[in-house]
Amino acid sequence: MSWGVYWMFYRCPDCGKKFKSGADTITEAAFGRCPACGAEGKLVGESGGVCPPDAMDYEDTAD
Amino acid sequence: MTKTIITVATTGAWPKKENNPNVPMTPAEISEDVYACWKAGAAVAHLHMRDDDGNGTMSADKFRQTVELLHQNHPDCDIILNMTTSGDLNATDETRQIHLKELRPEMGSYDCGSMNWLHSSLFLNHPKFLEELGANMQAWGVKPEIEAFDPGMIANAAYYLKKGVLKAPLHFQFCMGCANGIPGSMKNLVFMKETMEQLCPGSTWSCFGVGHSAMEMLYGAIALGGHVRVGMEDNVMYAKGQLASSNAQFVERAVRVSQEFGREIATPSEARDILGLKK
Repeated sequence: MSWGVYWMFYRCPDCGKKFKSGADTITEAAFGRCPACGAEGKLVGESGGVCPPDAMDYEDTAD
Repeated sequence: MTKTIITVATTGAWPKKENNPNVPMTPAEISEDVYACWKAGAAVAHLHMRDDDGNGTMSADKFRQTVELLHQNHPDCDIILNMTTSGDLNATDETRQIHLKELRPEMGSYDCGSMNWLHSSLFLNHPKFLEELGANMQAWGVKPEIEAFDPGMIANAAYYLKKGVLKAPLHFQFCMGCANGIPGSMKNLVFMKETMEQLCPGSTWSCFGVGHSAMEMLYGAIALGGHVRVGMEDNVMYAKGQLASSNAQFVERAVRVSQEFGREIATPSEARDILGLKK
């Protein structure tokens, strides 16, 4: 049994962009940072807890 | 070079239609999907079932319906069936095995240790359960596929081998990049392979990478002489920003990559020889 990517969902406090980072990319510089403006995101949900209802609309920060 | 065995994990316990509308969920959908993947080159199908709400279930009836539909509608399909024993975190030791006893698939998953699950729960495989499952699988003629989420689980398999709970030659599935498991990198894949060769010599192995490590693990396994697993249990995205259109799409890519490397694809019959299965 596997369970896919463990997502951490963020909202950019500066520009409002919704984005997500996979725990398997935790070493990447882009992890948790807004892909639009580079600001550190505010965690709003995660796979093992409460996912945002519009989770599919979050942009992946991985290269 | 050894031929490549492609396992397709069509459904798993987590993705739903909202994650990818092409995930097969019902026995009818799963059986048709398995057939399409067999036509595309898969030799093994790793099966999970869903209840009527789409949640993971260990219902023996759902497994039975799927197998019957596959055999009734596609009697030419000789794919090896590998049934999960870990399709529902709330299942009991008994319900995790009853489908193996009743249906006697050629293979079944054997998760060789416990771990945290999604940073929120436990994926429990108690030693008592593993000893019972290993003995039952031997008695029922079901070959364990040893799922190893970290190197400690390989060491655990070596212990069970010495104790007689498992029987050589073992077949491992290295589960790379799962949350709480070993990250999916080439360095780690080589380490898993070498650990296996040291502790359980003569074993065969396959691997998959969840999410972003999927391609690295696919190419790595083929280059290192291993076998591969693909499918929506592990990845609902075919590429960044592109949902998979089907499980067969993943199988077709694995076929292309392996053949480009110079390794032909094992048929189910050839896979049975490689894995030591008796039909």
